[in-house]
Amino acid sequence: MTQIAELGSHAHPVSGDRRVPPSPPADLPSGTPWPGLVTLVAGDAVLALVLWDVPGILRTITVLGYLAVAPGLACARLIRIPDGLTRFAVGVALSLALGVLVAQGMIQLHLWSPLLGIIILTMIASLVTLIELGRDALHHGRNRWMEAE
Amino acid sequence: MSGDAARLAVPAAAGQRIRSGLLAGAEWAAPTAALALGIWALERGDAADIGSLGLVTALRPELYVALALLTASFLRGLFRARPASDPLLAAHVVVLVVLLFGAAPIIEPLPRVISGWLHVGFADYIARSGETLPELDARFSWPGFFALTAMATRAAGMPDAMPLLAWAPVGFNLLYAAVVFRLARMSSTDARTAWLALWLFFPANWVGQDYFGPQAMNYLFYLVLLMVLLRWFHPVRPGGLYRQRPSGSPVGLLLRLLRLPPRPLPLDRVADQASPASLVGLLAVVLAVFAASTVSHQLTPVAIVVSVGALVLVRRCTLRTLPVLLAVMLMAYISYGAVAYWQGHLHDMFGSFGNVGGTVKDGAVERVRGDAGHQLVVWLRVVLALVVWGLAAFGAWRRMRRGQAVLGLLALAGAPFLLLAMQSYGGEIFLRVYAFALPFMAILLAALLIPAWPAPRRVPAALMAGALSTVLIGAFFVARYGNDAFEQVRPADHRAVEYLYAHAPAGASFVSVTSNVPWRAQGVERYRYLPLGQDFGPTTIPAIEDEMRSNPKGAYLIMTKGQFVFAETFLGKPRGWGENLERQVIDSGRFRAVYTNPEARVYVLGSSERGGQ
Repeated sequence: MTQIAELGSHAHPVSGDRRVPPSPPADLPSGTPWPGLVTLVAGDAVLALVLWDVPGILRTITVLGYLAVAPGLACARLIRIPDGLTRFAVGVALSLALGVLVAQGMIQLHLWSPLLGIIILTMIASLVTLIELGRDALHHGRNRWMEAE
Repeated sequence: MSGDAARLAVPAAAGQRIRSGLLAGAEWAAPTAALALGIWALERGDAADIGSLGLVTALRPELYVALALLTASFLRGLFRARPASDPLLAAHVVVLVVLLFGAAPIIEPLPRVISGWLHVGFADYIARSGETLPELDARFSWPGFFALTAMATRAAGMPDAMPLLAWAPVGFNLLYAAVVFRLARMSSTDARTAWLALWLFFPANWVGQDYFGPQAMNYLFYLVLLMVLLRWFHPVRPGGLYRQRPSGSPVGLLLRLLRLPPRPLPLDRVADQASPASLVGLLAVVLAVFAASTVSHQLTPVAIVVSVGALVLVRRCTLRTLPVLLAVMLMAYISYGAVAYWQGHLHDMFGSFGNVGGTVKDGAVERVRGDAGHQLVVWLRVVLALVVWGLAAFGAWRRMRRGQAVLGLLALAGAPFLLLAMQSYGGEIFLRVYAFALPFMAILLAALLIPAWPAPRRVPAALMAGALSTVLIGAFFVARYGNDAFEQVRPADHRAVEYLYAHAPAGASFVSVTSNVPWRAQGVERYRYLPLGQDFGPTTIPAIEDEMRSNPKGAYLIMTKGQFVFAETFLGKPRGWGENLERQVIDSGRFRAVYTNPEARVYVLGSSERGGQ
């Protein structure tokens, strides 16, 4: 059921100074590696579709969806943006922004190539995801070691 | 519990679960039925019925029934004692977006607004050449969106971006929904306010800047950037604005005059906590999004700088030097990347700086023109804007009476009005100001009605919200689609343009009598188009003939119903103006038709074969 009657996670009025306190820090590891692994696999799939010049709607939807969401969402996960809706919105905006900067950069540098552009964006998404996965693995390993101690 | 009692309790609990399931199913039935009925009604709309009031004359009454059902269901779920679940309320909003912004793509056979077609042409040129053409069109000085489109469509194996045109407004508005809801939720202590603000945002968003183009993407950038700043870079302890003021001070007197508490704005949220590393990442997001905005749109980065500056000014952003940094980035790009534009257009950029009167004249007074239907549409837009702003002002007052924070919202709702003092933006600045202020106006508007507790006040509040929704949704179809008499792209016009591209040699001139032609979606650089940047092309026989003879590579005159309707509805030409002009073309004996369909013709000069001399 909804939490609509409650106050928002970041807007709790408090008696006394009646100041709304902040949310608890959200800098916790993401917990599950699946989004990162999906990003890595999707990046490979997109590159395969483009390199083999696969025709059809599958390529269109996969490539456009990946470009619109994946690079920015990978960065948003690395930053540890807490709630899913905000993470998605920031992820899409950042994906579009990175796409704009990469595409315009290729024009300015006279290196225009849609293939090069998608390779760069896939590399950004994959690299950021690997950093996120490595960080989380390190965190879990440290936790297990401390529990063992 | 005894064994018998336990045996009796099991079927009772199962019955309760079944009842709950049925109730939940019934709740979901309303948006589902509204979606099905709405789409059914839209599919039966006929584009041929579009008149001078636009798309509204082609809508079936069943659509209004669907919207009424949806509104009633949403407000019931919002205002009842135990509110509906978030997914259910979100489903209502999604259906609303589909029915409001999907109306045109369902009824009209081709994507509307020829500017979107032109953007496809710009992206097509970049995809083919890897270069821009800033000398051809000012928008090529800010090519980011077109470059992204070119890269994405080619990588996706698409020949061009035409398939993205029709449903782009629905897609963009769904993205806006996520950010506007989060902005509203951050600014409100009650989730109901956020949901109502989101609900009112869409019918109030009649501006129509969400078609396929840089402005639609940049609006998302604008919203996301402000959301990040408000959420993570809000001061932990806002400064002196919260101090107790002496009752005799000017501010104290003003507060008493407005019947506001002497210590206003005590209730304010503080920033979400994040680690230094996350804050650096979020700042990088802000800078990347702003950089992309700077290279892809003229106006939005200016609006961002102004809004961030306003936030800093009222101490609602801890990044005090951010507006300066953003302004430097903006000026650096304009100085380097947009040289081709400002070299010849300094007057366009800065000529109206400080001339608010001229901007108001360009943006409001001079837009009231055309036939009676179009004038009515323009007046309705003006009234709607004033109603939204006026009610939002009342909402702000009500929030302040309750002691809730409003200064940041007021700053963001008011900052876009500073753009009026900067430039007229081709007479469109009022529309843009309205759009940039709208999310924050919608939050204040919702504060007029919520919270409405205690319980006895819920019913009048729900009825008022229903009345406001009805007015806004009813007016939306006229205000947004009021220009569809000429903003729709007619299949006959499109077929005539396709004939041109199939038969004209490269370098030939394409001449029309008004600018309302769905061309330039391909071959933007291969042909000479006339008019370019003007509403009218040549409109007398000698002028048309001179223009066509001036190009040794050949020329084609295209006359379409879309051009004639544009001239009569928008440009104020008398009824039958276009048909009379075409009759003169035929009677002159100097032109020969090479293509005809019931609503469009293509002519060449005299005895030339393919438009040549």
